[in-house]
Amino acid sequence: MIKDIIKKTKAYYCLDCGKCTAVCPVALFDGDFSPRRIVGETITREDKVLDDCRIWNCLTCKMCHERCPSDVNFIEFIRLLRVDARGEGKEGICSHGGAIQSLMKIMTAPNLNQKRLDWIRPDLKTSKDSEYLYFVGCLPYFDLFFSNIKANSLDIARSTLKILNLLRIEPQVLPNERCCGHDLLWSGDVENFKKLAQHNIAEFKKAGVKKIVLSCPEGYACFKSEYPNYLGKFDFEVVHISELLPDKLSSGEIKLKPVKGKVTYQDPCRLGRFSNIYDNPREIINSIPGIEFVEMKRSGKNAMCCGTSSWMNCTQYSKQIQLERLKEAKSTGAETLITFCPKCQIHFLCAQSEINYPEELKLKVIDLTTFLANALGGE
Amino acid sequence: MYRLETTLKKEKIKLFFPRLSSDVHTISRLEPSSCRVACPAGIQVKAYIGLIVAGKFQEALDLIKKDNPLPGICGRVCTHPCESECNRRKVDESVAICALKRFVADWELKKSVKRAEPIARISDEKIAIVGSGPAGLTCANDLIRLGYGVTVFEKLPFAGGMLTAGIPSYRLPREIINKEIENITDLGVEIRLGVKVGKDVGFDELMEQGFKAFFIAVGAHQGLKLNVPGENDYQGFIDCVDFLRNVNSGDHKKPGRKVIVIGGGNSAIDASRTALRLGCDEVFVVYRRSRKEMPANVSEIEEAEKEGVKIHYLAAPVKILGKKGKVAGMECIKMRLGEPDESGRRKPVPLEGSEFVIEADVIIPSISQKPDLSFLPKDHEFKLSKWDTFEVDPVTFATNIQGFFAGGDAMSGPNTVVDAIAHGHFVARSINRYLKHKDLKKITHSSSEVREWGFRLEIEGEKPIERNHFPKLSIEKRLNSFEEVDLCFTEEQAIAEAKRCLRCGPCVECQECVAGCSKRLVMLSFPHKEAQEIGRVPEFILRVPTDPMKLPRDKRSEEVVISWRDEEEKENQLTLALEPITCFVDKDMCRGCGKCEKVCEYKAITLKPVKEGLVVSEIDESICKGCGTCVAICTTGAIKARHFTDKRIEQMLESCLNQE
Amino acid sequence: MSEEKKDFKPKVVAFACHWCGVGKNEINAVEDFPDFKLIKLMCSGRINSALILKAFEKGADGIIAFGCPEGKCHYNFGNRNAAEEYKIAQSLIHLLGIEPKRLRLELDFFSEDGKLDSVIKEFVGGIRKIGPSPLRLINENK
Repeated sequence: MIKDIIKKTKAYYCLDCGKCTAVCPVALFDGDFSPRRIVGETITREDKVLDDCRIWNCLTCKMCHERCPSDVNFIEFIRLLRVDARGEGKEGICSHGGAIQSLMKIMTAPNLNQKRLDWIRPDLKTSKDSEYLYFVGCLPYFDLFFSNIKANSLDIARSTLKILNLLRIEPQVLPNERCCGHDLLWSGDVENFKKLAQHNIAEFKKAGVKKIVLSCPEGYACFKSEYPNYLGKFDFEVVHISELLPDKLSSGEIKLKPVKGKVTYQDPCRLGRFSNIYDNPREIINSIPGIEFVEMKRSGKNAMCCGTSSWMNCTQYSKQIQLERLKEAKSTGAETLITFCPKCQIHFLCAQSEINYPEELKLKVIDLTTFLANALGGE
Repeated sequence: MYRLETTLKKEKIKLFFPRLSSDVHTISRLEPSSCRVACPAGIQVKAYIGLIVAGKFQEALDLIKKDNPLPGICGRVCTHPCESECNRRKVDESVAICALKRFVADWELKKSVKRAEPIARISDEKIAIVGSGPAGLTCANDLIRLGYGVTVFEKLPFAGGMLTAGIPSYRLPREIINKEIENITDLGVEIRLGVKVGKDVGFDELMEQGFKAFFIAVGAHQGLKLNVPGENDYQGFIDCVDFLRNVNSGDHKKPGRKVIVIGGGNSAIDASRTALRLGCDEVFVVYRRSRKEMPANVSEIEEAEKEGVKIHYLAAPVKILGKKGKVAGMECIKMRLGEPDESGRRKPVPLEGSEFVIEADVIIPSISQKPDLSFLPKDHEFKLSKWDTFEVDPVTFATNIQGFFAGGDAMSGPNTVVDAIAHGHFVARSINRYLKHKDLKKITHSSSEVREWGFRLEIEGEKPIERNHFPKLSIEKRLNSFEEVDLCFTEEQAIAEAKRCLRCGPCVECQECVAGCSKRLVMLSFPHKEAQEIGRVPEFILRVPTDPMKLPRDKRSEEVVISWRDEEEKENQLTLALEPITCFVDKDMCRGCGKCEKVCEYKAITLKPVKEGLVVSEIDESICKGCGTCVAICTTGAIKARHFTDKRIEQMLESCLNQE
Repeated sequence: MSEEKKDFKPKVVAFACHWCGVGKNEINAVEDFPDFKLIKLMCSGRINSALILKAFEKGADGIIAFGCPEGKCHYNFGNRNAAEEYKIAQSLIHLLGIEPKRLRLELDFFSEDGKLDSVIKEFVGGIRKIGPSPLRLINENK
């Protein structure tokens, strides 16, 4: 019921102030898109909203919610509308022909026997009985699928494992963990999300783990809030890799070698606005000797989205958002853009791989774990 | 369109591809022009007239010959139903279609034409055609071109059937008939003259000789009786058919002084004008209705009257008067026209007490004819109508006896030449299918489908142009000879007359583009193979593979009827509009990544700048061939294939994977 | 286990280009194998990993794709695209734990007489040996 959605997300309290639209990255380029107007129209003409293809354009970056004086949870509002719209057979336009959605749905199969651990090099230590679990997520698939833009997503996994080993953690890595379901959930497919979550929880229980370490902010946010939300008690401690590091770095337990260069940092929405982790990544970057860290104009709470989410509705406006963000990063004078979410990295790399991308805006895009792992081994 | 596949194809998934992939573009004439519909033989009238306008007389003749192997004959004696349906009549008078046909036929005669080579025999089967009239000749022409062996049996010492025996040479010179028959025999058709099938050679004998199919086209050569008193009592009575046959065989003896011809058809007028030419003093025609109802061609009646034939309209014979065993005259009664009968013509009613007498020594009844069935054995099993004509299946022209087909006047009773030609075509098609062991019933003839002519012609603003009249032989010259009366158009006249054609519809169907395209890119084809095989298809479709689709979208589609049986074995039909599969870009979705531009082998995709630093790809659908590689490579889903969307493929997958 | 396999009717999806022998004539081979579900595409270039994954997701036990031989693509290079996408798809299904034998791309089946028949027989036979796809359950639960 759309009335329930309006109530639940406090959309009734919308003051029509338009702050959301003012900060919305989509609205910045797509004149047709306005969170304020969508809320307003939904309240007045409930029935029409599910047919509105604009609900699939929202990036759910939470910028609007962050600014809303009435605490209207717009992205939750959008998500719930998507659930209802999907019930009526509507969906967004899947990128890559829907391949990634298919991968996620395939993983709902109960007796899957994945071969996803080939990436673990012999020098990386894992164990079968650790209370720690490293949840790799989609990285093996991304690494393959985005090999054409040289995303090398598995570098993130290898780096994470390397760092964990350094912290004397030899985590379990499960051969049959599933996709966390984040993207299905945000594109309104609750049914398959729940299936994935159940499979995952069963796998976790079977492995007997207590702490789950993630290198992906989406999985982190998802385990932290959505799993308990949809499946009740979630008896595992969820840790993002960035939460483990600052102490160890400042205490000198992990030694780093100097790296020269000027870098800037892209706050992933799931880590920043969703999970309030703003300082840890910055501390990590700053702990690397020789690094000059500069902030972009819009950073932290105001950080701009990378342009696409949930592998759908990647539009012309997505590209414009990415170009805008890359321009902003470049304008800081940095030559490297550090991301902390494999998807941000993929999106920025993809934008740069496209024809007509201006040479002067070329930037190195690297995940923070990889960046840190490259700096390991200092005196 | 989609539903059809998911719900109905339980056993096998079959995809109805829009047949018009954009490799092919069509010029489609959905309805043939009214003149073509009116023509029993379906001649492409508008097309050959268009070619005459262009001065392409040979091409025009070739086109006519596709549907009518006897253009010179038809150009003279056809009743030209096409002219009655001509849209030009709404402006002034119809185009002189018939005379134009004659013009091109004569044009060819005037120059020396290389004689045709015999057609190579492909199949062993032989076909016997009984009767060498227009039906038999047309059928022989069609079958020999299909590679069969064809033998035509003719009872008379000359070929042509009623054309030669019944039509006087002042209307149809013998050399025209001979030339056109020669064109057919040149292809390898054997005509055996003076052989009476059934008497000289039996059907059993022919079967033993290897004839696999028979076409009975013996015509209707037996005159009907008048059924008036005195008819059988006196000398001086000659049946019209016999009279004309004798004259046409060279017997130019004067039959008598005063001649009465009874009837109002073309043969009655022929008999009267022939009698005048033989030197008879007075020739009367007695017809029971008025001139308006007279079935003979108007120009024939006019010419007969000019030559001196006296026509008594609204008069009927009552009894024959005789003296000394010879005809002396005929008592007639005046008639008036009553209510229309079942044929739509007003029924003549006698006016009591209006009897009058016409003196004469010869009476030529020409009321109607029936087939002369004396060639059939007494115990034959053919189903006949009450008029002694052969009863056949109206679609296949098959008689009740397997392997025997009948057509022409022998089947329909006295009829026109062009109808006989049409029958010849239909029977040839049926015999072909019969010999190939295909279902005869699947034949459809365009003439059996009543098609409404849907094209709206704009005649407003058309200026009247006087119809061109061909010159005629002077009256003086006519009466002592059998020289041809109607003379031919000159080239200038023909072109001027052809220009009067309104060219109903956009394409004149002349097929010159097919012949003219050096790269052989233009093809003429019919939508269904099956249809092409079994009969003419009214639609005319030209496939032009390279022609860019500059037409508006709605003009590009083609309709196709698909039929299937549902679970209850019920026949269902659905008309689908098929459009080519082409790809298009959703502009909002496109990121302008440029991948599609690289994979498009046809350079249909270009990147168009939309904003500073931003490009969007654009597909020129006139170039796109619909291969879908760009759809496969598009990361955002901005490129979609018309009629072949992702959703559709997904549903196809579902439907074929969920069936048990 | 062997009992199960006897009843096992493999669901094989065949993507065929409209112009290669399979798509063009809907040759008998396809009719002879009732398990074969033919989906015609305009060109094998339309095949991408998304299409292949989707077919597996919907419960296909095996997927075979037919296209024209190298250099003979009706659209010049559509089959090259198919070959590239096939490679990616092959690695993806390996990660997912779907046997690589379940996916096959055939671009050169007209070089020898009867090759197509034997290719299909071999492929379907292979699927019979491996048994139903692990993904069938997702669909059967529905």
